[in-house]
Amino acid sequence: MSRSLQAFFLLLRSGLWERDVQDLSPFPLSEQEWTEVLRMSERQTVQGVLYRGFQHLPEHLFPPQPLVWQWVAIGARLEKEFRLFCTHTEATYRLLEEAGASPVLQKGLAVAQYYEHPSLRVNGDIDWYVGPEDVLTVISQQLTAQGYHLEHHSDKSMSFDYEGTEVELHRQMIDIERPRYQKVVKELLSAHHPVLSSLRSRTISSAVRIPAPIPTLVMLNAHLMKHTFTVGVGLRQFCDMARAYHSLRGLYHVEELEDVYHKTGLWKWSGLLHHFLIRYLDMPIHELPAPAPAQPRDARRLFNQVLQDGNFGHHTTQWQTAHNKGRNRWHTVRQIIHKLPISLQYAPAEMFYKLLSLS
Amino acid sequence: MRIKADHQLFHVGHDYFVVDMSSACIDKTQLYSMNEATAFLWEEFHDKEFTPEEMSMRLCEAFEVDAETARRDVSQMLETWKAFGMMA
Repeated sequence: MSRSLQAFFLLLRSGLWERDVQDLSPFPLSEQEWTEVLRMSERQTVQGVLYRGFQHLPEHLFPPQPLVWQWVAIGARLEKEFRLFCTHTEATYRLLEEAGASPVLQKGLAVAQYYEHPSLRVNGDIDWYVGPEDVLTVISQQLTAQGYHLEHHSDKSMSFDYEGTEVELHRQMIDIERPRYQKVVKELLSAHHPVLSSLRSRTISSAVRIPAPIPTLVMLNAHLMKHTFTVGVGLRQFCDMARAYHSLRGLYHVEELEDVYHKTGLWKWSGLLHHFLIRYLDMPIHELPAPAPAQPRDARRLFNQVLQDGNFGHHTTQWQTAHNKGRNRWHTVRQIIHKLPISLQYAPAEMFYKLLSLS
Repeated sequence: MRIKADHQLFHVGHDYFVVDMSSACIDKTQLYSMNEATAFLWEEFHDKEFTPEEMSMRLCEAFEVDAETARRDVSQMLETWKAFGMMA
């Protein structure tokens, strides 16, 4: 591992858990190494976490002044985007409620609140779970009548632009394809109703619905697994998972979560995920549900893949050239095939149904 | 007088920076660096109406500066803040 990569992970852990940097041996870094650290953080969309991370260094080991300035500007930009996202999330929540839906916020800002500094989590778009396909169709008709242009996607989700922010509407709260597992998910969601949560601590009026603790963990876990074994995933999604486990600890029954992982085909994969979180993000083992055994070499392979893929595989040059509608599906299939050696070990049934859904 | 509400103070190590959060594209060229005393005054007065005299008095109390020096420093500082568009 290069010095800049070593430093990157030390700073990531430090920012993620808001604690001193545990090992100072790679520091001081040269300006070039700091620039590499900044670039890596942008590729993995964890630049806000790293911004916090370097502030836990002794000051004489800080980046050179121009890079500190650059990072402060990034922090300010994220803060500004966060405020805009909160405003757009609250506005689209009202919009969807007025259209007759009971929307539930997925990922994004719902996860940001698990961080010590929610505004520093990079946000991409706003994801709402709206309801089953028939509800989604009715809501989309209402929005179209109001002048919104709805785009339909291959996974049967829809999206529209709200004042420059992409808003996605989903028919599934939890990304699981196998019909037998979907039944378990349905039972889970009817037993654990969404809860109201305020996006901005001091404004109760801005509360929106978010999933209850166990559905949140299952949703993040399944989402991570799907993307890991398909288009690729970045460290931000692993950080989200770690922060969610940490923040929700004590708010759910561990045995119940383990049972859901078993019944939804997530158990074996969770072993690999937890191994990764412990080894690379320093996740305290006692904050995790009991992990199933995973091969350390698979965690290492996953680590290399995450570094290569970056945020949802958007970092790879193949994705950049394939990012148009015609080639996107073929690119996804190629990515799935490339990842089969590991996905077949950890989630064979899910991969089968995923491929089926693309055919 | 009043500081513009859309300007925000950021604190990193021993450095302080003010950023215009209303700017369409925030980058490092838009950061305004402050020392500890200036940042202290910003924190004290950023969300209320104030006069230069009130600011000078606060500076005297907190940093043991004589009244004349405080008045002069505050006056210069406010001129700079105006020049950088930080005052409402």
